[in-house]
Order: sequence, then C-alpha cells, then structure tokens
Amino acid sequence: MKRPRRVRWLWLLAALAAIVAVAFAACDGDDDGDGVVSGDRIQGGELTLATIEGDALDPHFSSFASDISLQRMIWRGLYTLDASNEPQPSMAASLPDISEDGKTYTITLRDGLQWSDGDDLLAEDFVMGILRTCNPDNAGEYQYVLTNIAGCDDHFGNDDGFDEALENLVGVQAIDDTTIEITIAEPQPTFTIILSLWMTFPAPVHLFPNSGDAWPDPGPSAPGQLAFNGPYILTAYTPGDSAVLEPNPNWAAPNGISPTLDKVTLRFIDDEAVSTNAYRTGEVDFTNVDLAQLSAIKSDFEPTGEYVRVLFPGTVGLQMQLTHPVLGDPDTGLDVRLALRRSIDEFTENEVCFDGGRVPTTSWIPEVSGGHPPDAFEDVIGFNPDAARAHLEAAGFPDGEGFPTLSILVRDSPSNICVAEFLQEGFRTILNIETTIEVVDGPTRSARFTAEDFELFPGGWIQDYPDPENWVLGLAETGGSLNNYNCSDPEIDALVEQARFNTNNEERLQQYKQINELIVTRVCGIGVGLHLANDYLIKPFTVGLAENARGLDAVIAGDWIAEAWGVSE
Amino acid sequence: MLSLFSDGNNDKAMTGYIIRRVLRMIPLLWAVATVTFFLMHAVEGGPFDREKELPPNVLANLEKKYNVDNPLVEQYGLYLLNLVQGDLGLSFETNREVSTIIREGVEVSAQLGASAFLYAMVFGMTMGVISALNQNRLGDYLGVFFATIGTALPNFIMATFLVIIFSVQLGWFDVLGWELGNYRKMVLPILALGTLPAAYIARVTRASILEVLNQDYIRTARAKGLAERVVVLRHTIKNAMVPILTVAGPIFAFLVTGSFIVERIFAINGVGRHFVTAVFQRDYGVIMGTTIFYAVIIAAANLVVDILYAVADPRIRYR
Repeated sequence: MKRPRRVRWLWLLAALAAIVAVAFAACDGDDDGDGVVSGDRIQGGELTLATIEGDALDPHFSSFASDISLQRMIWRGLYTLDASNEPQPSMAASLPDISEDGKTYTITLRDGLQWSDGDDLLAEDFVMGILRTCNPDNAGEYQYVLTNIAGCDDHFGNDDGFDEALENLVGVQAIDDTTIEITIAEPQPTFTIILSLWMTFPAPVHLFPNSGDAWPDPGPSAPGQLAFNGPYILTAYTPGDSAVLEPNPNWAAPNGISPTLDKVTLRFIDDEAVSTNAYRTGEVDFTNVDLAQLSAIKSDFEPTGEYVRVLFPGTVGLQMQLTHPVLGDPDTGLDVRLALRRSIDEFTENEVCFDGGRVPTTSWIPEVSGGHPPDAFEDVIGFNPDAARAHLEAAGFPDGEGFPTLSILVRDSPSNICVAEFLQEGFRTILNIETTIEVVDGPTRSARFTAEDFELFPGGWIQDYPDPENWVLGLAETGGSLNNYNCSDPEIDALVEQARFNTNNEERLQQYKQINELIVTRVCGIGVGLHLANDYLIKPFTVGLAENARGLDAVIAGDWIAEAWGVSE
Repeated sequence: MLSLFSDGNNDKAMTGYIIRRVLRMIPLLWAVATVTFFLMHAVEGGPFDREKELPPNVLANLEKKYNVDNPLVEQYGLYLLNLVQGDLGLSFETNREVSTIIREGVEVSAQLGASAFLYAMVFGMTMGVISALNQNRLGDYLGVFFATIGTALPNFIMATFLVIIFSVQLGWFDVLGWELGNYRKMVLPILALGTLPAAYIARVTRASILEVLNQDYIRTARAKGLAERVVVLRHTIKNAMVPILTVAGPIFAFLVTGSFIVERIFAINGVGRHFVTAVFQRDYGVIMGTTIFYAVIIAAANLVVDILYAVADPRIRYR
C-alpha cells in the first residue's frame, strides 16, 4: 500500500514547514513562545483584512468563528493559549491556585488593569462575564462549555428564565477587586483552558451592571457603547461592510507585545471568490482562499510565498446512523460500516472534490489535539477495495447482494455534492451497492441531522478548544447531546467516565487516545476521512500573520495574537 | 382602475383613485405577510439549525428568546400585532432591528438601483431609438445586437467578466463596494445590474417607436413639413412612451430593491443580499421584513406607473 506513505509525506512536509517557520521566526524576531514579533516591522501602518461578518459582538452569546476572531482582538480573558496550546496568564497574574480537591480555582488579576475607557478592570468584571454566559435569557450558544461551573447549568436550564436566586448560586465570585474564586462541580484538568475562551471574557460592570443587560448589536453605535480590554478597540462598525480597529491605549500587554499598527480594517466579504479578486487588486492584504481557484492561486502565489496553508483542527468523514437496522446491527453492523469506509479513497476524494485542500486521515482526533497521526489506522479503515468487499461479504451481503439502498444526505454546495457523488460511485463500483443522494440546503441538513433523520451524512467536527475531550464529550458517549449518529459502545462509555474528571493528565490523555482508537476502528458513527486546512493569501509586507498562522486561528491568520500584526518597510 | 374618462375633473378623480389604491394595499400586505409567514415555517429547518449543532438546552433558550417556542398561530398573531405598530421585529441571526437592516440596505441598493435604472433608461432608449430610426441598417443591427447580448447574458456572468477584465487585469475599477461619486466603485456594478434592463428597454423602445412611426398622425406631421427632429422628439417618442413606462415601473422596483448576485459579487451591503441570505439562514425576522418591504415597493411602483400613463397619454383618465 502506497497511500500511507503519501500521508506521511504530507505530514513530513507540514512538519518541515513548521520547522522552517520556527527557524525563520528565531532568526527574524523574538519569539517568546507566545507568538512571533518580527524585527523589521515599522511603527504605524494599516492593514485591511478580508473576513466573513459575524453575527454578534457579545462574547457571552457568540458561536461563530468570525465573531470569535473579532472578539479576541478587542477582549481578552484571564488566560490565553500560547502557540503550543498551553494556557498562559493574560489578565491573570499567574496560573490559578487550585484547591486540593481540584474544585476551587482562585485567580489573582494583574495590577493596574484598565478598560479602554479608563475604568478599572476588576474581578467583578470577570465574574459578570461568566454570569452573563450562565444567564438563560442571554441564550449563550457556548454555555455548555461552562457546564462544570457549580450552578451554571441549573441557572441556564431554568424554564422560567433568569432567576436571581439561581444566579447567586453560580460558583463564581469576586473575593476582592483583584481576586476571583470559581467553584466547579468536578475536578477538570482542562478548566484553565476554558478560562481562556471567549465565553469567559470580562463584561464591563460599569456599563452592564446586570447579567441580563442587553449587549450592543453589531452596528454603528456599538463602539461607543462598549469598553475593551484587548489589544485593539473597535472604533467603527458598519454592518455588512467593515469594522475598524485601533490600538487600545490601556492594553496591558501581558505577553510584552503591543500593537504597532495604526489601524486594522476588517472588510466583510461573504464570498471567498470575491475576496480573492480583491486580494489580487490590492484592496485587501489578507484573505482566505477560494478553494475553487486553488490550482491557479498556488501557481500564482506559491512562488512569491503569499500562499500559506495551515492544518486546521477539524475532521470530516462519512457519518452513519447506527439506529439503521443494517448499519447498526449488533452482529454485522461493524462489517457493513468497515465495508463502506474502506471503499472510500480519501486521497482521490481530496484531489477531486477539494483540489487537494484537505489532509487524508484515519484519525478522528487530530494528532495536534491529542489524537493519532493521520495514517495510524490505515490498516484497519484505510481505502482497500478487497478488504471492503470481504467485510461486506462477512456481513451477509456478498457482492452487495440484498444490500438496501441507502441515502446520502448532503448540503447543497458544489464540493459537498462532489463528495456525495464520489461516495456513490465508489460504493457502486467497489461494493456493487446503490445509494441515493439527497441534496438539501444548510438549515434543512442540520435539522435532519439533529432529528437523526439520515442514513449516511458527510460531516464531522471542528474543535472548540485544544483538548481531546472536546472531540469526545457529547459526541461519542451513549446519549451524548451531539451524538446524533447514536454511537453506543460500552468500552467508550467506560473510558469517557474515567477520563472526564481524571486529574492525572498523562493518564487522561492516554484514555482519550484509546477512545479515539475505538471510535475510528469501530466506525462508531463516523468513518473518518479528511482533516481540514486553512488556505490563506497574505501580502509579503505584512508581519505576524504568516508567521503566526496556526490551528489556533479562528478565521484570520494569527488572529489568536493579533497584537503581533504589523507591516514591514 | 384605468379607464377612458372625459369629464375634465381629472385631479380630483386621480386623488380619489390614489387613495383607493393605497387602501387596497392593506389587504394585499396582509395576504403577503400571511402567506410568507406560514410558508416560511413550513420549510424544513429553522433559524437555529446550525452547521455545528447546538445542545438542547441552548436551543431551548434561543427559542424562548425569540418566541419561537410558542404555537405557530400565537407567533403569527404576535407578528401581525407588532407589524401594525410598525415593528418588523428582530433578526434571528444578528439580533438587530429588521427595520434598521432594511433601512441600511435600502440606502445602498436604492443608490445603485437608481443609477442602474438611469443607465438602463438612457442607454436602452437611445439604442432603441437609433435602431428604430435606422431600421434594417447598421444602427439597427448594432442596437439589436446589444439587446440580444444584454438579454442573453446573465448578470452573474457579466459581473464576473467585468471584474476579471476591468478590475483584476486592467486595474481600472475596484472589486469591492459601492460609493456614490467614486467612479472606481460605481461603474462595474451599474453595468452589471443595468445592462439586462437596458437591453430589454432597447427592444421595447424599438418596437414601440416602429409602431408609432407607422401611424397616420406621423405621416400627417411629415406631410405638413415638420422637421424630422420635431417629428421624432415631439410626436414619436412621447407617443411611444406608454409601453416603455409599463416596463419601466417593474424594472425600477426590481433595481432599487437590490440584487443578490451583484451585491454579492461586489461585496455591496444592499438589501438584496440580506433577503437571500435570510432565506438560507431561515432568519424569519428578516425574511418577513424584506418580503413586506418588497411588496410595498412593487405596489407603489405600479401605482406610480399608472399615474404616469396619464401624463404620457392625455386620453387616459382615472375614476
């Protein structure tokens, strides 16, 4: 089999690129592990960056990547993730002081913190941020990440909405102006990571004294109604057009990096084909690449170094409904699922449908997030027509005889339809089985997925935070809230129970690796196929975008450390 | 109601006619709102069906927040109640007032649409007149060629070609945005949006003028020795205007209410983009608001055209 070698090649190339980038950073500027600040930058300058407009400015409500990208530029939490995905103190003075039972976190703020409007940034502001996320009236879409904070779920799940008594029971309080105490229900090794995420960002109590106070919507008046504690402040917002950021004079610069740019304009463009054209005319200095033009873009911009690819912590594949009598049969279902998975040539699929824009894999959890290398399970689930036919025969369907016609539910976009047709053709030619393709729009597809009304469903998961638990909890255990394919495996369930609150980190990570292996090899709801990647075009005169482009990016290259952006002479 | 009317008291009659037409818009808007509301909810998928699924308790709180957890009839009643008070509600995606979203979008779409309309009328009518006055000669062939190409070429193809040639290759114009007074940001969107209607107007103008040129009164005018310029400008074009006005009204309404394609290709924040995006996102608030807005604009444009008939043709009266 040559394909595993090809996977290794891709990862070797990626690793080589990373080494070159790090070497470049080491030569060209000072990298303290928090991000690259190139030495040849000038003070001042402007950047115009193409991005998709978000839906909300409220970090305690938001769920869209473009929202989060902007919010991380103008607000920061107690901690921030460094280039290695490790939490580092941001507004906090140091890592949290954790009680012996692992349930109480005491956090001290840095001295002299201020909001952009000059008011003091206090412990109560961070408390308010968490209370806002737990307030049911705000309907925060990422509240579930705070489910372990004592009382947060009880308040959020209250049928009658906001309840002062329930809010008072939420386990977060300001001990004094600079000390916060957070109580969690169970010891959680990833909790410090959680405290770096947007849903825990502070809320200015001097502007929003109650947790239910309305946060300004993204509009022209929003900048004047808000205060900021991130490296930039929002100075103008024109819906559908742009947001303008300028350096925050009160930025605490916890990593020692302060913005050098005079202005950053985020130009909202829905269509990457349009932003790619605007990049070519010089109207924007950065854009995500239109994958439909990938070959032309590589040819035009790879020689100039403007084309950058970064692996992205997301995995897609073929999700399978295990309540289906054939797919989920306790005796023969696994063979059926393996037959389907092993008849998918993910390498060709990647070339045909994504112009090579993704990374073939056999691991559900990306290696960088605590999973396995892409070729780890090639021998078990990788493309192999003979093995696929053998599995189908073992399941009682020799040469596809008697196999039911399954439906592939797919969203209406050229690449998704391409995937469905690719799968259909592979199943027909290799397994001699027929499938139908059902093309629907995005909301319909999502509604059908939520209602578990599908048989085969190209889909996957994009990481919220860099820990393997984010790839498992709710997704793989029996009855998990997002487990719509009904993966139910006693071994996985047992391991999830052990790993979830295991304070022995090494052991915990090992347990998640075992879970990853079980999900993959038992095709427990998904036959994994491709890891995602971000493809960028970045002008050569920019600093801090290409150098800091990592899987931590929300939308824009290096937006996890936007204060390091600049321009060179 | 349009009819021949000859008692000479036309102003009063027209005022009454306008009032009646405006009043008739009320049941029309109610019907549009009702059909849209129930059709919208009948379609599978809702505003919170995201690519990345939301946990059940988050979904429940969102539904509560936007009142979509109530029975559909109750939601309908509440919507109508708010509507008669001028409240179009909130966008389910951005939480912004729908009326604000429409106002912001309309400002841009109307500027672009009106500019494109001006281009379509001036260029289309000019081409139509040249064609008609040079029937079966070079001028006519050029006009017909323009009308055929303009009608056959979809605006998304035209816009894409315009961008690639004149922005990316030649650098004459910008790819992004719309800015009144800035030719770099105006020319391509106007051409992309206005060429199809210009071609249509050229065809209608040509046909209408050819018909008028064959009328007895034109022959009489020429026989009386009137200059050809007077025959064309005073007698031909004016009398050929009724069919042009008939199509101009809907074209104007179509252009000023925004074009999803053109607004998307040039990243223009117009109302057309909001409407189509809202449908794909199941943003109930914006779908309802923009549909009602479109109904008002189209009804108003038709009313204006009916009134202009009387200006163009003195034989037409209202009662």
